[in-house]
Amino acid sequence: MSCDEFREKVMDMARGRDDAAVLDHVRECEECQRALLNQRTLSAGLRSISTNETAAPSPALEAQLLARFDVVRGPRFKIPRWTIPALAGAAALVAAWIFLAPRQPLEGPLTGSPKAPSPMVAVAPPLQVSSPAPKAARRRARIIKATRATPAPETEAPFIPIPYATPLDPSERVEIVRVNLSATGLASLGLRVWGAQPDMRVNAELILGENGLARAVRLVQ
Amino acid sequence: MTDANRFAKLYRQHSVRIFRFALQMSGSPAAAEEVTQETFLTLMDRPDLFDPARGEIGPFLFGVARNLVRRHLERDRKFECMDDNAEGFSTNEDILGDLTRRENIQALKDAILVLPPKYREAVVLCDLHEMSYEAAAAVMECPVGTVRSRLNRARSMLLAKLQARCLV
Repeated sequence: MSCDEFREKVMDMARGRDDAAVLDHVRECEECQRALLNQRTLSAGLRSISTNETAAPSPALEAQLLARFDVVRGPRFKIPRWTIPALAGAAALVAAWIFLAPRQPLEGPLTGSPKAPSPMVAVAPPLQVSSPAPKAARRRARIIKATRATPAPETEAPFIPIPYATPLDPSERVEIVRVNLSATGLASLGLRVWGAQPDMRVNAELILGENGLARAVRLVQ
Repeated sequence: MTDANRFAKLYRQHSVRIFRFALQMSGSPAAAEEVTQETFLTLMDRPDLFDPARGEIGPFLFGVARNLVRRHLERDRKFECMDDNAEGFSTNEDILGDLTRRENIQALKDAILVLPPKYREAVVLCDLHEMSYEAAAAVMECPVGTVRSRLNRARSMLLAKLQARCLV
């Protein structure tokens, strides 16, 4: 092997590909021996950079990207298919109850307009913050008839998970904020309100996850 | 598994390597973070760009990151590049230093950062990320022979730089 041929092969040799001909050559050529040693030293240095590298993207970047994915492409956890007929059945029962139940005179408005009918709110079961996956039985819809004759002291309903939001992780830090929502706002959180006036507003509290997205809501009367 | 879970899994599998590649190419953690974010946003917004028939997702992500890094380097010319024609294949020096020592490692990192980008990416992909010539060629969008010659040239330039500092 000539020194020119050696120069073509020395890099692969230094990167771990053994070549008997190269080794034979460096035994005879001191200059090429030094060149091989230099290349091997360089390879060792580069390997050292590679193995000692500890840099990593910040955890916040993953949270940001996943939150954006949830917004752009839908939640990470799909609502099981069986819940759709179950919810449809529950809605039919609610509708039947509304039409068949004896009407009672209104005792007072929820807020604002004195002519506002008593709103019916179909809500999901309460959310336990420590349990990210509500059980199937808790998902059954139930009816709360919200009527108030006289101003009552403020009461808090249980938190209801927002259907399309990612369930809370038990270790996740949450923030609770109070908001004043319209019927449309409630509907956007998965709470359908029957008989509500368009201008009806209610006080509610939202649980915000670490990514700032609402995970659960409860009405505050 | 939903799309979002698949995306999360992909992110966890590849983000560190993409981040390190961008960091080793740019020398800037902020730029590396930006490149990593943009790479995965590209995957999120334009999943059609990835064709499994053309290769695996890893090299695809490296390819996206490479283009973003190059754009960043053009925008922010932070490092003065080494002369492309610098003669590097010196054989007159004995080994003077241990390249695995911490200060020498930093000197080697600095030397990589002043390589011209086309040589820098060859070293980063083939030597730091231990990619095969074929995989690096797919990322660099060039023939395998070009990767080999760029890597050879890059290593010669690094040796010249380090010998000037008496590190090898």
